[in-house]
Amino acid sequence: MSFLHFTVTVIFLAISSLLPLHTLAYFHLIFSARKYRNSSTKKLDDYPVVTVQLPIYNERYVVKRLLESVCMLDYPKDKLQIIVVDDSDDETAEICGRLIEHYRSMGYWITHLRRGSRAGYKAGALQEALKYSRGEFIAIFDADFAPPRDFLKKALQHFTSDDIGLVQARWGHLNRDYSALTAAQALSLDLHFKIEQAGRNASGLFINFNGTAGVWRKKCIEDAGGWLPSLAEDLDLSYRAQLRGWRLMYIDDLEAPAELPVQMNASRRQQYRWAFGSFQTALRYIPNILNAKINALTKIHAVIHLTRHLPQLLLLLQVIMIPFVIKAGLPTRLDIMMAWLMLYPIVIIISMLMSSHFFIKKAYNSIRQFIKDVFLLILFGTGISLNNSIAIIHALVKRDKSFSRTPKFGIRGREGEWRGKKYALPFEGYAILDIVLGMYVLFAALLAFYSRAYSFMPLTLIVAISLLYIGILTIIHSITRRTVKRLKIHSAVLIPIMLVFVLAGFIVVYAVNVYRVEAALAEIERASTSISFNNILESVKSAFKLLPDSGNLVWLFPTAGTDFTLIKRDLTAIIQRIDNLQYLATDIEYFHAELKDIRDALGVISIQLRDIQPYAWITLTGVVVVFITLLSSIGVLVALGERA
Amino acid sequence: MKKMWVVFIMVWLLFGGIMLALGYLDTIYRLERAVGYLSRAQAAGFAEDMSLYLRHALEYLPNRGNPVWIFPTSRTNFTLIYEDLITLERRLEIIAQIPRNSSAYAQSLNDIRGKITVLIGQIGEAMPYTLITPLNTALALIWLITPYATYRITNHLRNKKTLDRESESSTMDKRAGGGI
Repeated sequence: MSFLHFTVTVIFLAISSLLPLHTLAYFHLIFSARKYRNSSTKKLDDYPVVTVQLPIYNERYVVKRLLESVCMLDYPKDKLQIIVVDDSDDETAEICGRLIEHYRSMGYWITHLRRGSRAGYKAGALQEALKYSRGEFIAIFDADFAPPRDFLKKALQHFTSDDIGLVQARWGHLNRDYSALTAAQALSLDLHFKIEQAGRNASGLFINFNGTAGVWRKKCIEDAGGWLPSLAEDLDLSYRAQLRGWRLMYIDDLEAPAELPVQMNASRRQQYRWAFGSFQTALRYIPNILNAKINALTKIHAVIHLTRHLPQLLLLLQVIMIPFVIKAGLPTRLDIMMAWLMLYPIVIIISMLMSSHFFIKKAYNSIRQFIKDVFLLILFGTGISLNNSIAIIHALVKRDKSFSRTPKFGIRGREGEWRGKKYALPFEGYAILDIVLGMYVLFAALLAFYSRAYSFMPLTLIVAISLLYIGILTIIHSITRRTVKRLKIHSAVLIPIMLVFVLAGFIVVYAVNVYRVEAALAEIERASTSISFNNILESVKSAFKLLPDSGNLVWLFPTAGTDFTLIKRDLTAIIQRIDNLQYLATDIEYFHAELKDIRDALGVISIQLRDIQPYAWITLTGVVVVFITLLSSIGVLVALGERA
Repeated sequence: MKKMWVVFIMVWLLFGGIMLALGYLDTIYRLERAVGYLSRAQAAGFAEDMSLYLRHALEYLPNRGNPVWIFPTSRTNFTLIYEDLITLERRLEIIAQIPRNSSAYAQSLNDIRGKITVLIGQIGEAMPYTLITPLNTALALIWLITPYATYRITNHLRNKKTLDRESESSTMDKRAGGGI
């Protein structure tokens, strides 16, 4: 093994070993979450003053719903201060102003705070609001939330001792059933709250404020140093507070429903922000965590918690390395180890998700629905890997990044439309990278299949399908409302036509290229194992007929090894030798020496045909045909749309 | 400014891609073509064909040096690999004189196929090192840090410009104040 192969092996094995670490920690949290009980409560004899801070930026579709819910909170009006920190630069400011005037006239203690800039983004807004906050407790809600009436009273009952700095509620979902995307995100958030937050809380580990739907003790915020600029200001403050000895509580029974992002581009943005912010916080506080006087388990979990997006980067590195690992012949040398390492993360993730059903059965009517959502979550979680990996790399090289909020459209249940609305996001360029990488990983899967490195197939297939799904969904979610309307009009005709085209293309490619090479390969392998030279001769002749007379299916950097003209020339020579063999079969020594040599030569041709197989699927002509078909489909669509 | 950066990144990526492709064509791909011919030689039916393929392979192989720059061994020494291939070619010329319907012919060809397998393995081991040389690694690092360095330099220049402008305007303000 050369030094380079050794290095590739070490890096590959190191990545494969690091990946299960996070899943093992998660596994521990599943067991801890089983022990979770809601913390004790105390009766509220006297109502303390509470300030509700509402940081908003251009939220015309949801601001009314937010203010209505907050003003409906069951709490004495004179003890409830509401501060709307409005950084909007569109008509939201006007809508918000009118609503505030209305509620003020009804006797609410409500303030419209306009900073005139977005300095410090959300953290800056909250820090500014803190100056005007009179409450002993600070409740924070993002614009997409609609807290229930009893939220404050329930939350305050959990502040049973002076060292409790925060009570974090669980996020509910106003639009779980809106689409496959919202279903996947809802499950992802459910797992975060019901397993991660509950598990950490039950084991006395560090938890995090989720940026909204939580009630802080004002003294705790001030003691921890207030809100600092960060893309994850919530996580940042949570860790500072806990490192100073404050206890943060997660209350599973306390739910605050919110709107999930419905546009893929918006969801990407949110995920990017979370991944960037988490890693930013990790870089800031891991040294403090390691030096803090806390137990080892808390330290380990805190580090894993803050670096929770790292496995996505590692996963991508792992799949990118797979073709090199196969080419280097490592799977054959370390087959058992490779199989175990590759399958381990997948099995763990699936088993964990399945066992998680216990915690979230309330949210699902049937196990079928749950399995469907698990499948969607795997697609979403894996497909978003590239997006989040870019965020991690950005966090490593860039200290600050502007806060891009997640747009909301006031969608509830299955109702509502976001296309054509003002905050719909434009096309996200990273989708192209998703598709390119998805194609690469698909090629890696084909390579793994034809190299008989089957242990790599589950991972490569899952990653390829997920990346392509996310990339294509991003493009679909960037299409304008008008085009979607046109597509809908003709979908009954277009979808079957497209399906027939795809199926026909698949069959043609298989019959013309893949099957011919596969059948020829089978004949050559038969020839290698046959005893009678008549059978050997027949098989080699059949292989000869099946293969094309010329050309090279390997269109990217081809070599003589896969040139059909040369392969057929060699097969002709081999056929001549087999022909000669039958006339001199009485010379035993010659017969065996000749057969052995012919078998070895055929063995080499088998390897060459195996090298051709992945390319038989993706021919240059095929790529051109697909491209032309796509272009003409779009042309037909546009023409039909214009006529409609 | 954002547009400028997008153009810069595109050019940077394109430049990196082109350099990588050129590097590949000049180093690894040459060896891949040699391996392709060696693989053909392994599958050839007659000594003459094998010899022809070997001659083609030799056209693409370097005849000296060891590309492995860290912990090199004789396995990846191109001088020795080249010499082995020349010897094989000479042997094939002799084998071609042996009657084709003899066990000696078959055994000799089979022996050469085995030797070529080992040589392909050795070339494969040397292959990545022809591209990943210390110089190329240094160039790749320079290429990698170029956007960051450019960002820092442009940022520094912009800040300096802003500071100069501010100090200039404050001096002018002072002068104007002095006049009153």
